[in-house]
Amino acid sequence: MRISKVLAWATAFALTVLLGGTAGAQFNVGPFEITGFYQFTVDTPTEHANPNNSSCLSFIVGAFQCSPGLQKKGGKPDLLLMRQLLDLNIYGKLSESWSVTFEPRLFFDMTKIADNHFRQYESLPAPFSGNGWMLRGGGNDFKAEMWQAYTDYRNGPWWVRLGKQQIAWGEALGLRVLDTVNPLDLSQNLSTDRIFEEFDRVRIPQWFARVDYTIPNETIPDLTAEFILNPGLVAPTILPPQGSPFNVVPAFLKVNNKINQGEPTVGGRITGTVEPVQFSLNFVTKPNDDGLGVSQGVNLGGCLFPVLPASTPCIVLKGEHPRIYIVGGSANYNWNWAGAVLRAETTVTPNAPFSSNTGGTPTKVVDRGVWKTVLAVDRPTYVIPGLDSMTIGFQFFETYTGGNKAGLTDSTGAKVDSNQHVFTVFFQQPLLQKRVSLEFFGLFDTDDAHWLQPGVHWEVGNHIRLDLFYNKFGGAERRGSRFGNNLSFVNGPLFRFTYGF
Amino acid sequence: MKTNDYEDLKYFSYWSRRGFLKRSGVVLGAGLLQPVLSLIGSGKSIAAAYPDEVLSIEKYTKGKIKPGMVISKENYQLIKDIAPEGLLVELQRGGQIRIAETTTRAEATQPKFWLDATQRNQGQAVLDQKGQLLHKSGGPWIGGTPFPEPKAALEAMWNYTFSPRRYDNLITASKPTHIDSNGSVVREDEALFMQIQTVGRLVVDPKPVDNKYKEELHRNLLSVSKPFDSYGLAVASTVYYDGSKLPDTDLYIPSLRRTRRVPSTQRFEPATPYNVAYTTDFDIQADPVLTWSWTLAERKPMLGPSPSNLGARAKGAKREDFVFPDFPDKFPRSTFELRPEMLLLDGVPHLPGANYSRKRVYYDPIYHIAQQADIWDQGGKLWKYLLFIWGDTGVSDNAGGTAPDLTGIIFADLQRDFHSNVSFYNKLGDTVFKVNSPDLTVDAWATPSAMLRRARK
Repeated sequence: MRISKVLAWATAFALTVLLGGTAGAQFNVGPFEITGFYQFTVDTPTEHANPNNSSCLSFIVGAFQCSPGLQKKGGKPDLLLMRQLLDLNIYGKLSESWSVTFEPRLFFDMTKIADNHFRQYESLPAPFSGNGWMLRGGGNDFKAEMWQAYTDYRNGPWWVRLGKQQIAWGEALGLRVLDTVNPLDLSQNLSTDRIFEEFDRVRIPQWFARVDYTIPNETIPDLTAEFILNPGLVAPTILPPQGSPFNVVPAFLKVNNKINQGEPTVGGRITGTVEPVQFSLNFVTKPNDDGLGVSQGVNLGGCLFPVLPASTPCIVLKGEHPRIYIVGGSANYNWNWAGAVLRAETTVTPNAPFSSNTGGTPTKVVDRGVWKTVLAVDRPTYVIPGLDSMTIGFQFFETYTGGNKAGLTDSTGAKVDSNQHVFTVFFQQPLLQKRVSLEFFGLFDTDDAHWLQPGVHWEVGNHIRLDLFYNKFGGAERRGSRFGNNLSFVNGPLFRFTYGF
Repeated sequence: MKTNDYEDLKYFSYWSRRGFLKRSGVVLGAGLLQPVLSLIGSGKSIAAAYPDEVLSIEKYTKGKIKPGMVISKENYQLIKDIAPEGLLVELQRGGQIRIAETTTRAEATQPKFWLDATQRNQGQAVLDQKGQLLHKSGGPWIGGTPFPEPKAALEAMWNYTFSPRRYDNLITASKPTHIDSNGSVVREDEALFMQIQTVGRLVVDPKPVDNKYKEELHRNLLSVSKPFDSYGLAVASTVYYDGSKLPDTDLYIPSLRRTRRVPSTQRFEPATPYNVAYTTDFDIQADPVLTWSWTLAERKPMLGPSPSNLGARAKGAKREDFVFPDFPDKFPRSTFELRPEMLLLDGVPHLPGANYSRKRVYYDPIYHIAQQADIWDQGGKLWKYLLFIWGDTGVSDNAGGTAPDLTGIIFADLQRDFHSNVSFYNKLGDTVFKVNSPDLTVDAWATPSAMLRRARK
């Protein structure tokens, strides 16, 4: 680790905290409320190097390692992430009907400055045509972006939100069944951040018109129809760049994302309450977030004599994003007798895309029907006498894929099963008048994959929040679309210091 | 050396000798020198309803306590027979109160339109076999205090909890400050609170019932703007008319970017970190009435907060003004007065997870509100003291008068010596205090879709 540079940045960080300390709390400028936080994150691996950065391919011997590969220096890196983040929320109430919200973010990724295992790579990349609409700019280490920018108009039963925004649907937490309107930016977060914050930091806001109308009626309270439209400013799932700590694309592979701008996302939902049930019925059609690989050829030289980083990789894939149609719904039931809330959520995607492989080479994209279902229960429970109740959540998630699966792979190149079953549990035990929370999230795939995240969240007064947690992926399952041993290279502790104002 | 001898201050026996107790019926209540309600209805002082001895603290204490006197740890024993136990503990730890003359106008804490409705609807409220409040027609109560001369604890509790803030709707801005045993501020919150009555509506159409929500009593909305990691959080509670049914709770959680229904059972734990207040403590008693059992323990004169405590609304007030001034003090100095009559209502919770063994609510049968409560833990040890202060806000009630409302709250954890104090403002940020406003509707504010469209983050 480059100690001197780390010290320099640690000094800058300390100065920021001190300056923040004098700034006090939330600012008000005219009709605008400005709040936000500064966050310093350190995520370190404890097990081994990311195999994707050094995997190479030979048609003679098959897959093997070409260390250091895409890294500058072989072996386990010191860091997965060392980052400073400033996130502002600027809310302006212009009148009773109109308001505006801006959420600019500034990133400074210090990982490759502090850890000389890495070559230069672009932190927070946006490698697709039309990425200007992400309003993101900067260099390899520093990035500034307007994460969200929208205006709200409210008048009686009408609500219109126009601009770059996140749209989140559904009941499930941490499992994306209905919450699929926006794609994810996984370039600095491969599910390793605090699970209790879900996708807020990584759900890519897109340019949408969101129109809600609450339908006056005496039968179904809060019956609301929602329409959403993105005119075609498409962003795909953004993966970590190759050579970066979180890279999930093997080094011998290159994927060229083929994004067709101009393809709209259109959807809507009906929500309402019929006590004790709240429900939603949803529909959305959009270009698939994940690129489905189709071979664009093989560079035999690059395969037979792999020299990494490759000027020409062994295999080149075109990442296709065919249009999909999703219908679904969700409901929750307030089970007063048990002191619990039951949740259900389901979607059917009749044309979910997969890669069809011939001789191990993805040759075309085909579609199959996919049915996803989540059943969940939340129940606060007094577990330890004298302490506040523990929040306990349990989710069961099933994915069923219909039709012939022979030779099919998903967007990660993984073989597809008919059924995939996942259980999740989460516990949150507050201590010391809720200043400290002990948290545990566990995800268990019945094909022998698991992700465990124990952690501690500590609220210190008004401004400081400390998080320390540990990610542990494991099990025999290694397919890329599962949370198993394929991700064990990110196992390790993550520490976050947050100063808010 | 001077020693205090308080043995001669047997207030209770003193005024008992005057026959007042006999006339007032002590525990049975009702039937004072004159009915209080008729005096209020004719716009008179309630003084004619009570003997002079209970309207003057000086007479009542044979001159030991006089208006203007400050009670502190030096002399708290002077009030030991007429103060809640929790208040005495607070005074011993440094709290100070000033004594004022007794207020004899019910309008000091109650809006005129509410008092008029109480008079108008007198005798029309009944309790069914379960103890559920109903109009004699079998429908929901139509507004005003249902039982203006409460004879039982349950009647008194319904009087207060039916519409704790008295208005068809209300929006107010508050700053809760959490203070540790050293007197240091450890956290400051800021929130908008709203209560929208769905039955017993008196001013804003639809009246008296919003038929769309006729199964409900009211909806509450809390929208948090501080600290930073709670910014934008909103909590909507649907309080049902059925007094045995727990409320529903919906949250808008900014980090989830959507609303979420959650169980309502976490009523006996801190609402936020450092907070002394539990959900059950809001409005002195926020659990549905019939989820507790209530008994009338005693009826006697006691100290209660004076409506002269204007809190943060008293611009430029100093600590020595004793008006619950806007300072981050552990025990904001405030003014108390002798209330001629106080009903001591003992409640026992029957909810799962309840860690209280008993709550004593001090109910003022002139105002028909509760402004103080003592709470005991499961071991029978005094745990908390709650103080809810009402005063004039100076803001129109949109019914021809001004709107009295809460001006300050103390939630005191007497065992840990922590405080959560709440100050109220007529304007804070873009939140403006108002009541009985046609635009404060359930659909516009207190539904999941309303929370989503009003989200600030």
